[in-house]
Amino acid sequence: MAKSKESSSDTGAIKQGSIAEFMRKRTQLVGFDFGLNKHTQYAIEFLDNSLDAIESFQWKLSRTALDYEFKLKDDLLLENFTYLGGGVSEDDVKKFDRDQVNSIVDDEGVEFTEDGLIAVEKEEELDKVIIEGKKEEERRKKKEDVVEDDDEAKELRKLRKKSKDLEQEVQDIMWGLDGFLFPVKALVEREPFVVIQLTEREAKEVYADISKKNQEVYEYNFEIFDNGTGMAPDDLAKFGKYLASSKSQKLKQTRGSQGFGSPSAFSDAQNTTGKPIKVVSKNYNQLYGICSEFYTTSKNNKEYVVPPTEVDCFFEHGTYVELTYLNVKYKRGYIDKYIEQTALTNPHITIIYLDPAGNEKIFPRRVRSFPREPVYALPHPSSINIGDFQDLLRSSQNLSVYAFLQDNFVRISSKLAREIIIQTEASLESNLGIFNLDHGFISWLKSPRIIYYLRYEKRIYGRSKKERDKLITYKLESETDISKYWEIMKPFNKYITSISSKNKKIRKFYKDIAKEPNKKVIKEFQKNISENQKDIEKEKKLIEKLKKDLIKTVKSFSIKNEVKNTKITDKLEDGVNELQISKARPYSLTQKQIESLFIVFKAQKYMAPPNDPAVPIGASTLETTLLKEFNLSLSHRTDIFGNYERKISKLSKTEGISFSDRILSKFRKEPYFNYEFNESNLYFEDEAEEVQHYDEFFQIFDALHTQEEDFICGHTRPPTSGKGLAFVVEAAIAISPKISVSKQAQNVLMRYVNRTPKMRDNSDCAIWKGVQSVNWKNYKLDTFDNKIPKGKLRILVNVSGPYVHLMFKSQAKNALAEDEVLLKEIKMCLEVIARKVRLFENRRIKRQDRKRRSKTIEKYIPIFVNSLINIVTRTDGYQNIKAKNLESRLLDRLEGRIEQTPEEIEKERLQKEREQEIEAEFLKAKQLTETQEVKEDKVSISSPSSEISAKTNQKLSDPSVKRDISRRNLGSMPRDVKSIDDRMKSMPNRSTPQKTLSSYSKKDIISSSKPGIKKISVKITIKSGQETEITKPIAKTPTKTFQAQKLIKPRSKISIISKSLILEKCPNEWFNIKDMIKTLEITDLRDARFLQIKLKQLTKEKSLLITIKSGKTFWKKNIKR
Amino acid sequence: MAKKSRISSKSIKSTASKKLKSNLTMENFTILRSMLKKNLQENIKQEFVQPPGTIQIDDVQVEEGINRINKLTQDLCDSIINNGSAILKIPSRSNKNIIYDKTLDLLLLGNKLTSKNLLSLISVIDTTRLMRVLELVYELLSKDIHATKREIFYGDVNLFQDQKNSDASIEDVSTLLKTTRNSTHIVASAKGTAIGRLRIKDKNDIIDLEGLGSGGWTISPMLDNIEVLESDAEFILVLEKDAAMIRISEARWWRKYPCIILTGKGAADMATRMFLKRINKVLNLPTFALMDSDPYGHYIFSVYLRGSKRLSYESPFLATPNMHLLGVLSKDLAEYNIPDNCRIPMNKQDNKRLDEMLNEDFVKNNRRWYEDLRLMKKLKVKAEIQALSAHGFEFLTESYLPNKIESGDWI
Repeated sequence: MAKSKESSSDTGAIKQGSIAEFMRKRTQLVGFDFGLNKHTQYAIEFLDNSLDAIESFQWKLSRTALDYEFKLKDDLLLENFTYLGGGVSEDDVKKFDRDQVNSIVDDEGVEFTEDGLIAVEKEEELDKVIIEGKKEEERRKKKEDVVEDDDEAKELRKLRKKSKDLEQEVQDIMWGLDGFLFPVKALVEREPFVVIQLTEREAKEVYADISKKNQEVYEYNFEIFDNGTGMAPDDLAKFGKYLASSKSQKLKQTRGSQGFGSPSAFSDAQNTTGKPIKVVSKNYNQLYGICSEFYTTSKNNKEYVVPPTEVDCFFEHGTYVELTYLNVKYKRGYIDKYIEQTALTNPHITIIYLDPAGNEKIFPRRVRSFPREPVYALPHPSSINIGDFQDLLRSSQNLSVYAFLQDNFVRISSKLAREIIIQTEASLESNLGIFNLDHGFISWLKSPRIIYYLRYEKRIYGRSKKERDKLITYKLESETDISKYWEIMKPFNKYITSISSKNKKIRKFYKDIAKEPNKKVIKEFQKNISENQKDIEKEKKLIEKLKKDLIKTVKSFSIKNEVKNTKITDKLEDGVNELQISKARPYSLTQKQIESLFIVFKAQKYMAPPNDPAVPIGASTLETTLLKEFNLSLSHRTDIFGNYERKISKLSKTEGISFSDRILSKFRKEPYFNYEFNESNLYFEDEAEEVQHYDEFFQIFDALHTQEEDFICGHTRPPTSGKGLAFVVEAAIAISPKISVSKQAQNVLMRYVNRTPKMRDNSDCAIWKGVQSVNWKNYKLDTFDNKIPKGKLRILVNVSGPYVHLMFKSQAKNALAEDEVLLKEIKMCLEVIARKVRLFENRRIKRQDRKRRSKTIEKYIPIFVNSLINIVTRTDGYQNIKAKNLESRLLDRLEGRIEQTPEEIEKERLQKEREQEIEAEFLKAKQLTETQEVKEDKVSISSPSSEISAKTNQKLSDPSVKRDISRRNLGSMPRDVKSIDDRMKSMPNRSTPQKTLSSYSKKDIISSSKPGIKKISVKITIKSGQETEITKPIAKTPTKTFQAQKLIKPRSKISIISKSLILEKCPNEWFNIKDMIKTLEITDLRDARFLQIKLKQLTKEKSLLITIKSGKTFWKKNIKR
Repeated sequence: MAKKSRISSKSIKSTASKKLKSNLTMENFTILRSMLKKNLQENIKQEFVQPPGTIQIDDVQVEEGINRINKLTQDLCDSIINNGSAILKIPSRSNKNIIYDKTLDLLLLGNKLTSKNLLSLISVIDTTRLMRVLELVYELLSKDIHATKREIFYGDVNLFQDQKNSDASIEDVSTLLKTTRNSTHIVASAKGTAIGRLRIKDKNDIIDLEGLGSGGWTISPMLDNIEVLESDAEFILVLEKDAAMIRISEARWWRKYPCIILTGKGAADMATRMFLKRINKVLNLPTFALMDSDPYGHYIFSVYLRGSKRLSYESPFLATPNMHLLGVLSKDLAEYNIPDNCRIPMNKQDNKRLDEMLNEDFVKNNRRWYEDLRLMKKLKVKAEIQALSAHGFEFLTESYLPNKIESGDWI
């Protein structure tokens, strides 16, 4: 396209071609390459156009509120409709009982009706835009078609001579159309629909050569009818010409946009068969329909076989196209798949497809409302580059830059536009070296030179004798004035330079921040930046002040010396004119002006582009269509979407009703509908009980209805923008055993752009890459080698918005270019769904596990119960227990019908805690038995048996035992306790609660109060009481201190780990922290941390020496201190 | 070679120092007699004190057993009806839950619980088997009859699959009821025999163990029917093997040295150990063991002494803590001049078991035992009781045993 537009002079080697010539030879650019995909391409082009036409018809009509509008609320029983079986007759439609609820049409598509008021306002605006757009279009049409129309008119005149023949031919066409539409005649005014018929014929032998591969070639007759807007005669004249499109001028979320589709299709059809194209169309505003049969030519105009003829149409609006093309033999899985997928995302339009084999596929409408109409999208300032900007300026009709800015971009308010102009003028001032001082202009000098002053004065000049404004240039000569001027200008210039230098500094800081890894340094930089920015602000204020001063002082100047040298004056006058951008016409801006304007324009902060140009299908619509497509069951949705996980805490009456309605509506379908769960059961009289009842009720619901294996979830991202245009990403995933496993990734992932399925160039597309970028394995989904999920699932991704028109990689519009924002959006959208998939998959795995488990467990339950019953029935009060009851209870629990109540969970938790306590006790007991041994040995000292005494002697003399005792003693003695006496006194008091705490049996208490032990403990208390702080014989205290240690809870230990203790305890060798933990008998991790801190403190105080040996830190007492 | 010669020279030396006395009679056994005297005087009936943190296991009568089962099953029924959960909590018999109690010198069961859930895949079979065994036990108790483990296994072969499984379930049941296995009336076929100066009553029969020929009395597994009547023995001798038993019974050794002789024929079964415990407790006799001088022999001794780890919870009813190891000690090999050809080098398995033994707390606490095992580890040889026959078949009965007892040379 670009090539053909390139123009050059007429002489020379370079010749200018026309776009039609170029494209006709390269139909593959639009996708019309010979092969199976060509069938699809025809469908793509015309189906897209038809859908657009139907939508635009509905939108237009809903604004004008004419009766033509499709009454979508009147449901038709389309499920029984067959085209081939004779269709629907007029009577059927009339008889149709409208009160009957139609199951194929669902309310869930209604999504945009919430903000009705706002929508109305928007529509009014819309009208303006469209009217303006129309005007422009008309203007353009006139310009373009002047030359061609003359040619065509001549041809027409010639052709009209053969009117008699033509009449016959027109009638043939109309009869054909009549037959074609007969089965759906009754629907034409009621139901938005598209009919496509493809018929196969033997190709003439001549054409067989077209296939180079000796493939079987057939001739196909392609017919399509839609009841959309229809084309007005003017439009029809252009239909089929390259780049003639109703949608390409301004960007809007439409399917087509380029004006390449149908012309290429016509070209291909003609090229292969040489047969003309038949078009019948009737615009809803016209009285008559237009019938024509034509060829398109390489000069991008039409050659009529049947010139546009007014005909009586039985339909009020719509378009019919018939063409013939050659192609390889039709196969399933191409065009039919495309139509099927289209129907998925266009549930608001009925699509009927008749294939060459004589089968029909009907995709009835499934929702009751049309989607919201997308708005024309003006470019957002952020997406504009200077080239676009220039083009827009040059072609602008606006009278002022101010108006231009507001009209051509979104998000520019009048205030912002004014601000932009003011700022541009300010930047131009320094650029041109002239100040605008309201009353006049003065040159801005940085070094002493001649100072000029300019102002408008009423003068008579030129031919006119009236006084008019004229710029007069003066020269400043009075020295006082000049000095006054410089008094202001010197600081002014100084500030300007300092600001620019500070800006440089700030930029440098930002660069440094990017490089700097250290956070502290970065903070300093940021501080510097903010300081500099503050300074700049200050200086800017000063500058403003100075400028005001300048305005005042200059006004007081005595201005006398007019400069009459035209060389000087012209230059200065030009500068002044250039400076006043607010007065300039947009199309006549100079390069300097454009540049400064653009810089200021880009430097502004804009709001994100408006979202209304992008209209998503809606997550719930996607879900419902997929549900119906694969015939999935609904029940799990409540399960997956976690309605029960959120606990109901409070319900007002209305909330309660709406809540239950919403939930129940999901279960109304057959297998789940149960009278037990009727709405009436949901109303409880007692309000306090109500909440609880709801909870219980839905828990039962959940338990009963979450056995399904189907999953579906859709998600729509909030609209965002890229390249200054809005777009929305939405996706849905359906998982079900009902969905067949596909071996190819392309069958799993359905890509849509503006509701149009894209079936070719899969791996080139951004959507494909977005899907690949999700780590599906994290979400429990298996993937192909190319990272697209596989299995019994379908993924649907739709990107809509005017944005996509700028993102297509080729004319065939099969793939979207990879844009960072787009990829990120797709990924995030899919991840939202994927999280739910994971939830679902986890539950499914759990369920399967439960099933598997229950199978094996079920086998054993009867045996178990039988044994239990055999025993239990022989005891009192249990004679009547029946095995069946027990079995069923166990099975209930097994299959999850009895869920754990919170109390039960709490109980379990408590039990676990208790078990842990027991364990702790058990550990204590282990320690106790150790110490008991020591006691026992002491008792046995007195025993006469020589052998045993020898044994004990042995033990007592055992050095290890001694060390053990001494360790205990020191480790547990807190240094910060005042005296040991106090400690001893407090001991019995403390010991009592400890005993009650522990769940020792009575026997234990007896054991602890065994006479032998008691005696000893008494002895020790006396002894230690006597010897207050004198060093005690080590062997005598152990049992007591041991108890003391036991009494102190681990937390209070922290206070015991004091520095002095550590110093006292540390050996004279190098020791590790582990050694210290051992010697201090630390069991708690917190205490160990505390010890670590203390050790560090000690090393800081230099009371400990520190080394690092093989990566571990060792300490040693600093003896010198 | 040099090492070997040194050892042998050492042994020669020690034999030189050890003069074997001949014609020793009961009168010569002063140490033994003093012990006996002390035992009889003190008549210590040590109260068994349950240490804290352990589970109390007791020997229960039939009625109490039935009551426990009733309570358990009723609770279970209630829980099933309430919330459909069937969980049995059994004291854990894992190694971690076994405590060596130094005071009592016994292995005891801690109070950790393992729960068996019928509705979990892992434990469903175990729990079902457990319930089945419980049912069988209930039947046994209510009819007051006994059954062997094998019988239990054949009670439901399809369910148990293997006797191992039923055996495990049997143990579970007894721990679940916090009682001894014997109280569940499931008995193992006993293989131990006893002979010597003892008169007992088995239900209605009075049996004199002296008059049973050379075979002796096979210890009955149904010990709750046995009553010890009288005995004039002065000590009890436990033998590891039947071979030694034959030698001693052939010599009618107990006539000269009044004693009761027991053998477990290898590793002691529960009945034998329980019988030993019973007569030891009732008669207050000093008890000695004669084992092979190998790690396995020592291990068997330890089982007699403290009970096996597996049945630790029953050890208060099975273990005989005041038992002494008379021989054959490793040092005896040198002292009694056992020839080299009777000493067998230890294999890997022996070494492994030896190391295990050396790591046991109760071994470490018994210094003489520990040293003897250390010596064994050093010598790397083992010897059987029969090695003593190198000095003549009568050496065991005529010199070795009397000399050992006389000199108080035991562990």
